[in-house]
Amino acid sequence: MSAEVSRADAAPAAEHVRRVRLPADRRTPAAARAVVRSVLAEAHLDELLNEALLLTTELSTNAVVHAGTELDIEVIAGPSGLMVTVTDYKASPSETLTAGPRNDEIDISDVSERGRGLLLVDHFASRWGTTHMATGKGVWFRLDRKTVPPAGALPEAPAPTAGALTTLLQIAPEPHADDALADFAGHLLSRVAELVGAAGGAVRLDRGEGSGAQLLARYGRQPRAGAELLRVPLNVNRPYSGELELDVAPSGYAGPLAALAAERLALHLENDRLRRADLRRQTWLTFLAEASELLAQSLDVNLTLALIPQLVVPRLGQWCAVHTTDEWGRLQLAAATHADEMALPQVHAMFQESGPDSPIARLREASRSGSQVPLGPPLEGFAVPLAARGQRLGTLSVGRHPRHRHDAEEIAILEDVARRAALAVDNARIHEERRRVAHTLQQSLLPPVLPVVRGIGFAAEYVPTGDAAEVGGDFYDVVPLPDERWLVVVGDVSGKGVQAAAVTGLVRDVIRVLVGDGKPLPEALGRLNDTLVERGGGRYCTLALAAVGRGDGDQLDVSLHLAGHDRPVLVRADGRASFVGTGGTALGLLDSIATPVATVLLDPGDALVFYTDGVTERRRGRELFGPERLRDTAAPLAGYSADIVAARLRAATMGFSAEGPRDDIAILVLRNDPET
Amino acid sequence: MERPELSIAVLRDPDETVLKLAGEIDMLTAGRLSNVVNDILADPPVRIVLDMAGVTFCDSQGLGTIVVLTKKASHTRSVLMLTNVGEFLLRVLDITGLRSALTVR
Repeated sequence: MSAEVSRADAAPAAEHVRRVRLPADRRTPAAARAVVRSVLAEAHLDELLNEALLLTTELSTNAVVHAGTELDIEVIAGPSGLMVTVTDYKASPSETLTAGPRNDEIDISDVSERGRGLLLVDHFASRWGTTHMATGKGVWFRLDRKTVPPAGALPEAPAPTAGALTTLLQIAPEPHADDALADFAGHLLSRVAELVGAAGGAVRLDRGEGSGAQLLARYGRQPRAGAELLRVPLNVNRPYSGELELDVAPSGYAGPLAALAAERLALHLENDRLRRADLRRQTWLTFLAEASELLAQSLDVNLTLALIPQLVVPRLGQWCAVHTTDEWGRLQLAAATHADEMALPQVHAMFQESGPDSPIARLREASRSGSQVPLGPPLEGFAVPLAARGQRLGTLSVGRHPRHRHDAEEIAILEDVARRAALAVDNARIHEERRRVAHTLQQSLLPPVLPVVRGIGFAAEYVPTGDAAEVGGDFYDVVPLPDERWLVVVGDVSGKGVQAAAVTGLVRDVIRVLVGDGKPLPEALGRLNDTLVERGGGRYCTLALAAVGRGDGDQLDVSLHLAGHDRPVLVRADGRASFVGTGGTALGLLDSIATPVATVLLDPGDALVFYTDGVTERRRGRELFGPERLRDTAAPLAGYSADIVAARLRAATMGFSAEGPRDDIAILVLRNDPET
Repeated sequence: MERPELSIAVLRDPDETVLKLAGEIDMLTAGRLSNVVNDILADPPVRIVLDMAGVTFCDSQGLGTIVVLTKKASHTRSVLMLTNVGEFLLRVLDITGLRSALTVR
């Protein structure tokens, strides 16, 4: 054996150290075994013989085959176990040695012929690892005594070189890498692990997002159960926390070097924390802005309530439920969503429970206290009150994420969402209230029923505008005159809304009062004009007045006054149809007006059709319904009763276009009903 | 080395050839085992039995060689099997997952 054998002089009495240099030769593994065998015998560690011989052979065989240089074998046996290091002299870039997979083929032809050496080392060694040096590579393994050893010093790793320390200090994140932080941590970890001779190591980081500590980097193999590990906490600010773990005994240089690496890591993690916090804030701001916009667009209470859970799930929780306070102050489930559709019934069931600790009781508490209240298992989460303009509207409850609880920031965001949602619900309620008011107002402006007069048929149809919150300016009325005649009024006040409705009411009342006093119609119209100019607030009005009385024989005598209103259609009993009357001036625009009178005689079966511009200006794309179409539609209706004519005209107008009416529509039919 | 590295005694029967192995199998000696088995496979018997009773050591090189030889034997419609495998080697066969792929008697 052409080997240099030396016995270490300085070794403590309990330690047996042997270092030999062997050639790159096929006999070398056997020689290495001989060395190990003799050291084990001296140290009375025969219990480790089989494993020690096998692992020494594997490492030295690898060195002979792969490095092909001379190799040093260092065997250190102590009371706690054995450590063998095989060092070669082949300078090569540092590579990570990994154990090959265990065979799981049964058919021999699929079984690999090579690559079991490190698998065995990894299996039998208590620890193993590699050390990279400028001159070559050292691979080592430790075998601990199977019986519990008395506490004894482990052999220490050699002091780190200045070069290795410099490398440790100079590793920096790649600014443009995809995951620069993980790369950096991995790099730093493998360096420090190599320096202290750790078999493995890990960097764990908890970003405080609720999902616990995550592995940021790993080196080498998983630590054996019960192995002594060196752990250094990372000095980072809340909510971050983390640690650097090395599979090495915390002795000699290992502690200070790990602390140094941990300090460097912490610095970059802190940077990462600040950057992420900034990014999160931005993302949440965008989310809130989008949520507000969506909520603001909805003017329907039920739609708004349904929208809220959709906004929240899954971004802010697994499930979300909205409860509204009903008129007796009870909370009612209004809308609920679960990220997993199949789990929605559980949410419903949860809120059906009753009792002092039931979820619904917790919601009441949230609503009463005006602050957030946690909900217990199984569907954990919490509830925040919905309140707007000092009013309790209900609660918003949210389930936790599948893997983590809500953090403080998310709770703040949810409270913000709840505020915005409550306002949106309140706005929608106000809008609904307005719609109801508009509807009531509209109803009050139109006569509930038209008078039934022998020989005269009256019929009216009214369709409000598509936007139900708006009151239209159209109106009609049939008023008895003191001279036993009847006055038919059809008008249209400019504009929409409550102000227009107020003017409509004014016009209607003024007409009723004036004609009831027996004022002639031209004078009444003049007075009405004055009133509108004075008090109409810039609104004007078109009006058709028709005083109907008995004429000669079975005729009806109609005096028609048009104040800027569309000319009515006269439908003769024989099916001829034409426009009658003369224009005149709309009311409320000028100080003086012209309201020419036209007399129309209605024979039995003749009808006069009044309408507002909601009919003629009904649109289908660019096409208008128009007065001519109305006239042509009315002509074939000759002979039908006033009710039928009015209803058919309404149907024809509505059927003209698929859209809802942009303006309100009023149709009034006056007919000379033949005596039967 | 004072002790024999690996001695191989070949006993031929009509049906099977038994190789009594004694010593260590590693990168130094695996080649010789390979040569002996290859010679036997020139006129393959029904079975080749490696009697491991005297084997004091076998590393991954030895296992690799046995895998190669088992494959070759099966190509010549012969069967290579191991007998009297020591306790530690059985453990190694378990760890590497080779026990189910080799024929161990």
